[in-house]
Amino acid sequence: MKNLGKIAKGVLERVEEKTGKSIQFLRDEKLSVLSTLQMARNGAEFHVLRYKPSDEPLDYFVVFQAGFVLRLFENKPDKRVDFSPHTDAPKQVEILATAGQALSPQDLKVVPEFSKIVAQWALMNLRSLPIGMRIDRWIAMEFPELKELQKSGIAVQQQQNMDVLAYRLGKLTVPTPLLGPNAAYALFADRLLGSESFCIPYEAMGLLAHGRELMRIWDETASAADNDCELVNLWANACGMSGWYEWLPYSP
Amino acid sequence: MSKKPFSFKLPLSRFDVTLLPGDARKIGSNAFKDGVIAYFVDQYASKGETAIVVIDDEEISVLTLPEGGDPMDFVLSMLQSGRIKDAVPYLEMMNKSTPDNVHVLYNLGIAYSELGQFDEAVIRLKRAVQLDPTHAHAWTGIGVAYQRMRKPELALEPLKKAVEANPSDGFAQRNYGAMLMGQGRNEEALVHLRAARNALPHDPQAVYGLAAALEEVGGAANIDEADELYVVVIERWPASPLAEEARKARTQIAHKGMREKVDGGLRPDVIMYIADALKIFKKAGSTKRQQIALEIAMKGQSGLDILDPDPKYTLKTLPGKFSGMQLVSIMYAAFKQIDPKADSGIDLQREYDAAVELKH
Repeated sequence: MKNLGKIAKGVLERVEEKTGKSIQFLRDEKLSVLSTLQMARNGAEFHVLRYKPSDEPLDYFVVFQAGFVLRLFENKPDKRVDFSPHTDAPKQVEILATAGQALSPQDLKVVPEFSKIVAQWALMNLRSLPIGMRIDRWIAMEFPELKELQKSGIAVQQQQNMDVLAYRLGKLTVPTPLLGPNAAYALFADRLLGSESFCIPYEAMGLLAHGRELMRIWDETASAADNDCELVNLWANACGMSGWYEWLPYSP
Repeated sequence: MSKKPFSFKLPLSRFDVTLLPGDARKIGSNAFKDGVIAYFVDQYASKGETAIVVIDDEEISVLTLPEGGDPMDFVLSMLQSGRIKDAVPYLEMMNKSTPDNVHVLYNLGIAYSELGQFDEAVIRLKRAVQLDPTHAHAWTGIGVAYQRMRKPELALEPLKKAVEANPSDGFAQRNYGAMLMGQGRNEEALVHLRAARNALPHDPQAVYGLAAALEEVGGAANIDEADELYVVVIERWPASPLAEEARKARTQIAHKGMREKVDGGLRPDVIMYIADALKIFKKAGSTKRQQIALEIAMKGQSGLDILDPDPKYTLKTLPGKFSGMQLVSIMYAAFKQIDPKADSGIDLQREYDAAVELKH
């Protein structure tokens, strides 16, 4: 991580100042994404920034990850919360995934495993996409120097989102309502970057109306960090995911 | 617009059929497939991007490229990185949209050949040469596919056509020459393998092929040249399997030369070398014998000149200077004692027997 630019280093310093804890860098060849930032918990002295060695500059990804920590700490201590998925969320996915389908015994056998994976993925999207879009807009406004890296970083994320569209086990595919946040993120990316092609696959799947509805909610909800929970709740409601999770007080 | 290629797959059932004309909404039908292709191509074209769309019975695969991006460049990079199976659907799609594109047909044919689908390969490559009879690589591809199908009788003609299409193409010459050699037509093969070597001086197969042809045709000058070429293979590509073959070939040539010197009779000098070696081994013991044999074997990795009688080699394990034949004789004697069944690469059995007799 010696090659991080001035902006990324500055943002990480802000994280250290705000949280009172320093950041430890950990090289991780097996990471499925380019970087993650795990906040210090349970008395740990460091936040851990894992990064995958890459020829591409990681500055945008690092700043993006740091943005989540900074947004959390923008809230007063008693307003900071953690997102906690409910254990019955996979059951909700099962209902959506199997509705109106004649499934073979083999497909029925993999329903629980499939639903568990999809629930985990959908909840992670619900928590990270609307807030991530706030962070992306903050990066675009505050750090125009990162524009090109942001552009290619968002393209990488869009490509990763595409891989979910083809995910299936037998006849089971990701239930359509759960793809709404991805459609919204594609619309957002096209708007932010001035491109118009990330939303084409979602249009082909008939998901743009849902994506636009989520974007409307995103636009109409106040953008300050203390509205993040409300924004997620509103998206959850629009995706039929209310009750799949709860907010717990943040415990450092 | 993303700068890098962008790709995705959708299950057929995910496509919103209301986007298609009324007669194209039956999922999986030809009209549906044509409609989906047209949809994505138009959508991306309107954003200044190129889309390649492939549809099979289960999925829609879409690859998009920035404006001005050549889909072939993307597919070639897939082929070069070994993702041959992934590249085939895109090549098929490109072939469907531009059926007379020889470049696409050629790459598709070679891809099928690499995947072991030789019938598919031959169909595409034959179409390529039908459109462009001067495409030497496509002719070669047909010949190689037939060879891999173990149909050498069908391989010869296309390989010949490849050479006729482009006599300066080294790969065409090399493959045709090798095929002729396989049929025992060594003198004809020699001409083509020499042309291959001239065109591909840095290709070990071309160098080795010419050496093998020279050896097969025979004659003192040819054998000398073959031996020199085997040395080139050993020195330039020491770790390659061809280097090992070249070492064996050099040993055979030397062995043959050695016998020819005495009209096939016994070599008295070799008998003496072996007899002396046996005396040394008896005195020095088995450990020393093994060390000597090992050192000579190591030295022999790059070839010992057994036709030159000058004592030009030295050993750490034995004092003095030795000729190549002397070292080979010592090594042979050692191996006969260590493991009588071991193949030392040269047959000095009669000299060894005579040397053993001398001792009694």
